Amino acid sequence: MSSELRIMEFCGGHTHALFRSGLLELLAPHIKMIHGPGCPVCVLPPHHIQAVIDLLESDPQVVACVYGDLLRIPTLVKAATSESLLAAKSRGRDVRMIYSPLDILQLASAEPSKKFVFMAIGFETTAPATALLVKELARRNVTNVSILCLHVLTPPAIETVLQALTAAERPHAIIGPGHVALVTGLKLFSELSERFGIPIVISGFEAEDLKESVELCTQSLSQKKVGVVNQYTRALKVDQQGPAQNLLEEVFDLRKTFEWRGLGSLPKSAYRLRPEWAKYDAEVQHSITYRSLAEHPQCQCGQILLGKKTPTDCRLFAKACRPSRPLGACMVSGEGACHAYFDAGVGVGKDAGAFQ
Amino acid sequence: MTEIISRIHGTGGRSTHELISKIFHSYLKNPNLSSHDAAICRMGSEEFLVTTDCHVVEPLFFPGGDIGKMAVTGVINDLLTQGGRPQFMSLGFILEEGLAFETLRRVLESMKAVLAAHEIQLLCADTKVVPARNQNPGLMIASTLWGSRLHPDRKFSGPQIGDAIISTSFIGAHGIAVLQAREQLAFRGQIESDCASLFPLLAPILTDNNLSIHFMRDPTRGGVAGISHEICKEFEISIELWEDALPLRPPVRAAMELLGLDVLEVPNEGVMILFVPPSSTEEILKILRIHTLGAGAAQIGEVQKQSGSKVTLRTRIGGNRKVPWTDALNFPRIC
Amino acid sequence: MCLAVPMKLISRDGDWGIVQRGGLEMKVQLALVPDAQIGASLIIHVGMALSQVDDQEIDEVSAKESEVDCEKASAPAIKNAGLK
Repeated sequence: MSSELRIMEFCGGHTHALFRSGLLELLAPHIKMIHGPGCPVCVLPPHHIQAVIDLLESDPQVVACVYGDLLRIPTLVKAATSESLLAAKSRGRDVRMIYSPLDILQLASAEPSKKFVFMAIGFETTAPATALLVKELARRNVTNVSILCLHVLTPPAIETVLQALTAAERPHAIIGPGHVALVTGLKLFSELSERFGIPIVISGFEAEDLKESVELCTQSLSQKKVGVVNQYTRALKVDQQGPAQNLLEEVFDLRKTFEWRGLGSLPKSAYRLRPEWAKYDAEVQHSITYRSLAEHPQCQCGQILLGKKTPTDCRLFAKACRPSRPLGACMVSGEGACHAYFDAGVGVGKDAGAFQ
Repeated sequence: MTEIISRIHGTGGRSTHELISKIFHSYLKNPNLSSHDAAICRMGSEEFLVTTDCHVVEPLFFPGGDIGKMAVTGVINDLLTQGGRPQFMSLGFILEEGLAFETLRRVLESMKAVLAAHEIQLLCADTKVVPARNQNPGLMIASTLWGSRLHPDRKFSGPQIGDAIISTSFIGAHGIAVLQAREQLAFRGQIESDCASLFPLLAPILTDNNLSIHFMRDPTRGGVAGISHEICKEFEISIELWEDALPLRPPVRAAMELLGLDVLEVPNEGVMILFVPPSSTEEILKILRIHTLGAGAAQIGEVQKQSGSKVTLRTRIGGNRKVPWTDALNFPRIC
Repeated sequence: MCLAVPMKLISRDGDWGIVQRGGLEMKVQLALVPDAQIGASLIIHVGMALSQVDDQEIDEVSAKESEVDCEKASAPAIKNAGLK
């Protein structure tokens, strides 16, 4: 058997947990973890954020509602000073951090003259909450909220990564996102596993879950078994995803294509609101114009998201690009590989200060 | 470094430290500029301890405290780190246009209460008015506190290898209370700031010279992680913290999990971190735990010989990871 | 992916409910867990219950909350994970 065992943890939440739990350093030395692109903030091209900032600048009645993860993502990286939603907030634009999309209901009714725009990012896990918001808005006949729907899907991302990697780079097994599976069910993962001949273990997020999932990967491999294994049995019950699936189908359909940071333009890989919900679709209700934004020419986020490179392969890593002045999303998000590496002190040289 | 001041320079994390060491120190450093939270001032044959602090918080009032209370308790606690009794104070108030008189009154009322409780005499003060920064005009307070030593022989040498690291109480409360008040987070719950003067808790220990304490610092902005890094840098040691041993009240633990925050980066206003010889640990913990301010007292780690990894965490599953020196921005996340 | 935390359902009114963890309470949407009863443990993500979770999860975490044990045994067998 090959000397190196490559396991990809798809989900950014798993990347974060691997590092924070100390599990990474407990793994046997021949196990190599490849960090997948399952970080919705990392795969979101910055032009969406810039479009919201531009909207805020052009219309003082607009309130941007965003998850905390989005606040520091840099746009206009090549300009004299980088831009971000946080920077816009600092200069007085109305940017509000929310925990749940449903919080917007209360905000909007308290300020009827304002136009609330919700940046709905996230993989399938987060989409049902957005869908519920849309339905509630309709039920309550709210007129001052719209949604910029940017939800992306897991299977196209896994597929793209596996196709982009060579045989020598490809993982032998995948640890899949437990919370996405609570919404999608296991069938999609089962199909991917069979298609690519790679076992997939759907994992919870505690350190103990990941530890068990690594062991289940090695078991599947030593038994030469393909297919999906559910490690997250305490929460993920088979055939319980009906309500979630119905909800998603009711509100969303698939965009023809969607550009992912690093992964390229992928067909049927993202949601948009169905035409019957156009009243709540920010792309319809506001003139959202996308600028063509260039990222830093030496930023390797794309290759890192594909699993082809690691953060230390990027010349900007820990030098020009670090959490206090990030040049790309992978360094901003706590689950981005670059941020995880930096915080763990991996490849961070003397000049970075804290890790001499 | 960036060329302009940004908000990350104010979080008390890594960037704050760099700002101070690379810019402020290059002009103002001198042998008497203390790296402790309080300094020793020698005037002739007299010696006293002095400390200063600036306070900016939004909102001004939050469960368990307010900017006024913090401005006084903060410097009381800082003075304690050098064994100082809080005696005399000087205050500077920068008021923003639009601040209601009523709000100012409430802040001053709060300060008066703490000053009276400790019999601190305000000797001088000043106030200025500036334009408001945002829709919520507030105020900023600068406070300077000085006083004599509680015990003439008590000196703080600095952390020693092998020292036990003790937290005098539960951590994480203040940061979450303020975040909750400011951002109106989704959950309701009994999280109050721990903002408090630790004088009643620590004075009895500091006056008993049989109890050996090598060093103390309060984990305010930047949290336990922030001060651990500062201390490792100043004293050329390493620190290992123990994840399982960190004392958190259940609501604070739940809040950390819901928001995806790291408790080590969250500010505290009613906690002191003590570095004590292992032989003193049991006794000091016992004394702390008798008092309500020391209810959660626990040993949270130990000082080690300096190694490549300055601050590490022994994790719950028995792993070990570095504790990064971040800017402690504490933004809740969904992922 | 994603930050989702188990919390206990303490009251329910149609599709809305209140969940609790560590004394914190939160109003959440229950549309995806129509059969959840009071006392059920739910996985909560951005204000929404995604599924029920076996009770064991919350109890285990509660047990950990009261543990301040610095001498916990370490070194799980994970070092031995790998192909033979």
